[in-house]
Amino acid sequence: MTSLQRKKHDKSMLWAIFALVLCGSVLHGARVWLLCLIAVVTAKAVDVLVSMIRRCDYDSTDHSSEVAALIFTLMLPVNIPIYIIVVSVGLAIAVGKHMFGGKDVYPFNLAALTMCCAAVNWPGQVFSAVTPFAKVDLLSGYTTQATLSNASLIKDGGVPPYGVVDMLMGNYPGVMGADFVIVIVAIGIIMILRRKITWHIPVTFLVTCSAIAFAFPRVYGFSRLESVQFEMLNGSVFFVALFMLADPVTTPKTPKAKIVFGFITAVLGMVFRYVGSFDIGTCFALLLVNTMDGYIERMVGGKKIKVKQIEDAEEKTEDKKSSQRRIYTADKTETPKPHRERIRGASDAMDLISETEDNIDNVIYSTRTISIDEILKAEAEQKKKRGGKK
Amino acid sequence: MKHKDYSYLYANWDDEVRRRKVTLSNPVFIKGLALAPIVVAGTSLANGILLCIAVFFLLTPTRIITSLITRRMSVPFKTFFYPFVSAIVFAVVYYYMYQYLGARVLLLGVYLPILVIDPLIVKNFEKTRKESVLYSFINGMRNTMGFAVACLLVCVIRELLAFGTVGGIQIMGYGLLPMAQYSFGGFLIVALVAGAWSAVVKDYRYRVEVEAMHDERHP
Repeated sequence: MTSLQRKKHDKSMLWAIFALVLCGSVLHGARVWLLCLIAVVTAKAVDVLVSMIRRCDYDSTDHSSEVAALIFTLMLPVNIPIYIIVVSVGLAIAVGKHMFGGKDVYPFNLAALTMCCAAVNWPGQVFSAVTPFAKVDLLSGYTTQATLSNASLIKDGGVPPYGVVDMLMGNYPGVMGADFVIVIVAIGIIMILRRKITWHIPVTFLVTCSAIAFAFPRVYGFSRLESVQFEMLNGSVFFVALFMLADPVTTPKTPKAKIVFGFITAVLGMVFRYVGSFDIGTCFALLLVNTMDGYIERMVGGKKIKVKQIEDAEEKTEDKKSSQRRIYTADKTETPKPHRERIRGASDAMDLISETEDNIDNVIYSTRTISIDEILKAEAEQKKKRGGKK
Repeated sequence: MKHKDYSYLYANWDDEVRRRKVTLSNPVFIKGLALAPIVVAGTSLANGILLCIAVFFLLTPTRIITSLITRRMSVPFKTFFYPFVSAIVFAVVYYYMYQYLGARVLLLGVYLPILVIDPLIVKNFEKTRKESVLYSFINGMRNTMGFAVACLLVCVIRELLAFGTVGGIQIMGYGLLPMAQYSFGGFLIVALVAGAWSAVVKDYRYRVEVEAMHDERHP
């Protein structure tokens, strides 16, 4: 994926997240906006600061940090203290993004990394849930209506006492934006139809999760289909499938590899949910599978084939172009230089310039002044002579 | 610092690096030695001080005794003698530490005895040249100082971030980063501090080079 495509993807993600923030603010109040704002400002500030420390140019069009911060924030309850968001986002952007090379090359999903960081540090606050329309203090986040999340309830052997419609609409004690299943599905369909994301990873992930929930039901006393319903509509499964697994930087590029990636993430995610300590097993699974990203791509073989196809196609087009040029320039005395020779010429020129730059100090400190053009000409002549002798 | 000092430093950079074990070639932050005890056991200032005491009584004596014994030995024999001597020294050190410090020594668990085979203590067996007792003592003390600085720094940062205290004294109302008390948090903090340390050393090296070049041009 090119940088331009990634930027377009980030913009479409921001619009999608905006819709969820809007839904969240209806159910949980103005604090949703405040927390999202703080997350975005922190992400931006840390991005700029670390770029300055690294002495590399900051790309203002890169929104990956903001997207990750917003995705992370929407997975938290509305009563979360502000410092948790600031510390988690700051740490994830500084360590997870910049320590691994910065934009377009970071290996781990930033939102998942931020979520795992927060979950490990403050599990009590991160895994609580707040009743819709509850009174929450704007700054401190204090509320009397915080309860256990549905995912924790299922883990402890309980059953969420809410109807299917309420669970689809997110109308139950939960997090800020990851529980609106209907809205998330609608956004996913729109994004797939508009080709902002591909279907491979989200669909494979959801189908595999459903199959595992059907085969190994956790909720006893209910049918297998009801177990699938409880598993899929709780624990932000749809949200993770659409917003985290569709990140173009940390996921494979070929369709086959994407399907394998989605499958492994789903299996590991469900295993972590069933036997792990945290509700958000999928985030840990995603981080684990991120390390296997390149291996999956090589194992499936899609990338090699694609690269080979591209190389073949490039060779063909180059042959065509060169033959066309030969025909076009048949009457001319000079034949056009092949592409590689042109590159070699350019690299020679670059070498010459760098050598000259090295000698600039001598020019400055010598008593007589020599123009750089003269040096360049002299160097070029010398190189020509050397080439002639050889 | 004067320009003459910079040019001297630039000319003898390798010797200076060998000599300045605390800053330019810190055994923990630059060479990556003794990471296991610091990352796992170095969760508080008290643990850090215990580790420093153990290393102080273990590193230099081991080095002096082994240099005396293995003066005319080849590397394979030295490989055997270094951990052997360090284990004997550790038995004595552990006995006295337990006598004077009590059960607090047990807080470090297996990460105190593991120092016996830590590269910080036994890495010297690789050297083929003979070491005088004085050189062993001086170099051992420099390494101990380097380890102590790194260990105490990491321990203070971890305790502050995890519990909001330093040496048991409350500094902040709450721990800003509770995961600093776990091993993975320790790895992260050691990595961050080591990265910053290396960057500062690199910058210093660059500055020395620039100043020395300037000094050459304008004597």
